[in-house]
Amino acid sequence: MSETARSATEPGVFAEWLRRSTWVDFILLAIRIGVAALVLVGLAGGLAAGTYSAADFVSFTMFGLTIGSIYALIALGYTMVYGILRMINFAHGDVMMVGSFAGLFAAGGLNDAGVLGAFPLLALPLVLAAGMAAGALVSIAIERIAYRPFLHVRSLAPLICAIGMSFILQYAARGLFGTRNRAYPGFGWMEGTVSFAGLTIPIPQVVAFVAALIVLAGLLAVVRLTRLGKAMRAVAEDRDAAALVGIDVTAVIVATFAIGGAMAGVAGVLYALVFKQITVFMGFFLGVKGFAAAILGGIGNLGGALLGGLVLGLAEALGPALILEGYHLPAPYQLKDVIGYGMLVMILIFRPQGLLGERLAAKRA
Amino acid sequence: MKTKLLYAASLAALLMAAPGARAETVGPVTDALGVVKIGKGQPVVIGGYSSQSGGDTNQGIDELRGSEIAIRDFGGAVLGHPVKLAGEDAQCTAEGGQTAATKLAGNKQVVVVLGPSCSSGARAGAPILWRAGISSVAIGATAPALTAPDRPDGFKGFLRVVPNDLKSAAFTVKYAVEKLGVKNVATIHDGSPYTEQLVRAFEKDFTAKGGTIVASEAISPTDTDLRPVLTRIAAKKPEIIFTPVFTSSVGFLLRQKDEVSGLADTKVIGGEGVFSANVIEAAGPKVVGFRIVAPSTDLFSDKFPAFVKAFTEEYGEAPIGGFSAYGHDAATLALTAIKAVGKSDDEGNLYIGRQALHEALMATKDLPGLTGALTCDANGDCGAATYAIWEFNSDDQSSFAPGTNPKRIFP
Repeated sequence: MSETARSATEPGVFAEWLRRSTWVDFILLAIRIGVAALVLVGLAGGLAAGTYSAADFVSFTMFGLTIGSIYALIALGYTMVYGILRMINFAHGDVMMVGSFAGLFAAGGLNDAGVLGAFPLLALPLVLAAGMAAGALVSIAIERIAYRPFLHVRSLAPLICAIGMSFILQYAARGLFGTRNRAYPGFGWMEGTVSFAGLTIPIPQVVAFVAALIVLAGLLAVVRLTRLGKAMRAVAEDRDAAALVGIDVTAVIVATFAIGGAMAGVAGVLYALVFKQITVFMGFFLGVKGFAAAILGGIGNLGGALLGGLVLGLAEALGPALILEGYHLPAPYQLKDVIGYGMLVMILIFRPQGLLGERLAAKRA
Repeated sequence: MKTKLLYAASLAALLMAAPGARAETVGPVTDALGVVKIGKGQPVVIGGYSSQSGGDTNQGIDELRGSEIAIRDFGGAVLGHPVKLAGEDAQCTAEGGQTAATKLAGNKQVVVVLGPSCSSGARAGAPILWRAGISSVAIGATAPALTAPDRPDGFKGFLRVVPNDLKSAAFTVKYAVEKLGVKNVATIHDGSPYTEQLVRAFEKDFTAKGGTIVASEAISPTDTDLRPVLTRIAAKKPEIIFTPVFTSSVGFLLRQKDEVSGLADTKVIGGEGVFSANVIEAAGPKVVGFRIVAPSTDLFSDKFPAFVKAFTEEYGEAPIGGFSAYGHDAATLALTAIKAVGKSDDEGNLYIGRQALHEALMATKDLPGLTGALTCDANGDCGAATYAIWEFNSDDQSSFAPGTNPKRIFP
């Protein structure tokens, strides 16, 4: 697209592009135009159909931001581990599930102890802390047991091991907690809605969004401002060189897993607060969504994970209403994931490094 | 080349279609589909596949427990041989049904198979079993296509003791039209054969009775955010929403419905898949007022209370819904047929012809079961149960007891 735009101002560039391009470039251009047309026609049709009011769209957007911030929290874990180990930690979604269950049991315990009734505002941070602690502990244990033996192995083994860990966590939880859907408690004050500028938004959504932003800000502060963050960035850049200048690489890796696990634990609790139901198998789908968000934003890039999560959440929430509605498809919401993952495929084709890309992508590739 | 391909294709079709050319004579029995020989003192192996993992575990466990009680009620033995139930996990998915059925079909001693719990599993599993000559008696698979007169050959060996969904659809329409007098209804299914076919049958019957389907929506079983779908439905202003989706989806639906403007007063009618205490936990306080169409367990035969007692003594908890009763009926049906066709020789070996067993199963007539008198029609439908509308009236999980919570409100 940009080439055609430039060709108007700089004569000769277009001719040069024509001379250089192969049939592959033409096909890719055709795909771009096709997708753009598909989206635009759908968008026009969707807006013209007028099924939803403006308030509906704002409410979808709010919801997309909420779920997007949860995806972002999960994506951060993937992206941090990838940045340091060059490995996709497929058990990450299930770490989130464990965090979610830890929160559930903490809430049950607080309820029995009467804390929930006496200090309802205190309960939320305590439950979040339980989720964080469980997520961090499980994550550290996974790193120690399953990944450290592979630290200097260049093969697919750690990846397969990660998938195995995911199943171990799922089915261990299944044995321990059972397969039924567990209801998550609300904290009294979280049951209602807030009205803001004529909109009604359920409080859990607001809480989840704000909490996610606070945690994300905290993480970015750690990575940018502390010694540990500096060490993490150094290890990410070059593990051997970091070891040579005296950084304890193993400790940094453990810290990375702990932070990633804690993020997943927070995501698990926030997810449960919004949706009120958890099962031992929920980690898989949310893990895949978080992974997609990490790829979308550019894996290895923290800001990218945040952006990817929000974009994926918004695409899921708004996509069917905005685009599919225009094609008068019956039951467009069944195709919600098609939009999210279709977008992922487009990104992988046209911008493999993700939306924000990784600064060092070229050097490492 | 082309003719060769054609030959190959027709040969493959022949091999796949019917478990035909495998007539076999063992001992005193000759059978077109093969003979199972059970040595003296060896057990008669009955396969079972149901949901032993995933969200519908409770249903699957209850079903096979019902079958176990039936085997016990039968004396634990048939024709002098002990009966062994070999259970497999079919989850509630096509993949699970396929895996479980392949495993069972690989065991040449399996005489007949009970299950599965879900139509998706039956769609994949039943043809695999029938290709091995094994008839299956489904406990929870209700999708109409499985016993439709024009069903593929692979389903010729499929029977079920649970009523066909056409029956439950017709009953729900009767309730909606005659009792509630509604004109505009929205439906939601989750793409699984059970929910989709039940919804389609409901829509057809409801439209035929002069009603209008204002919205026909679909979600996926893993969806957690149903607000957009509900917003879309709200715009069409339905009087009720009919949705036979499963526990977790119902939980999300009921919890999110009231957050969508315009749906607060719209009643939701669910299906029998959520006839358990789990839905109370999933939906929390919003379960109050939720109605489902499910078998009228209180109109089951008079043997049912004794069964509930025996079940509770054996497993330490009461059965949920009617699933275990279907498990019981499936086992009774199978054992009765085995008893009818099994032949023993002088040494005490037992021989069961597979084709003969299938014919005996299909010929079942007025067999007293827990859910009523079982009679199989030409397509393999043997269900006797009748339906009722149940309404939940408390969000206390421990209060789940068909009759009080949920309470039968129609008929």
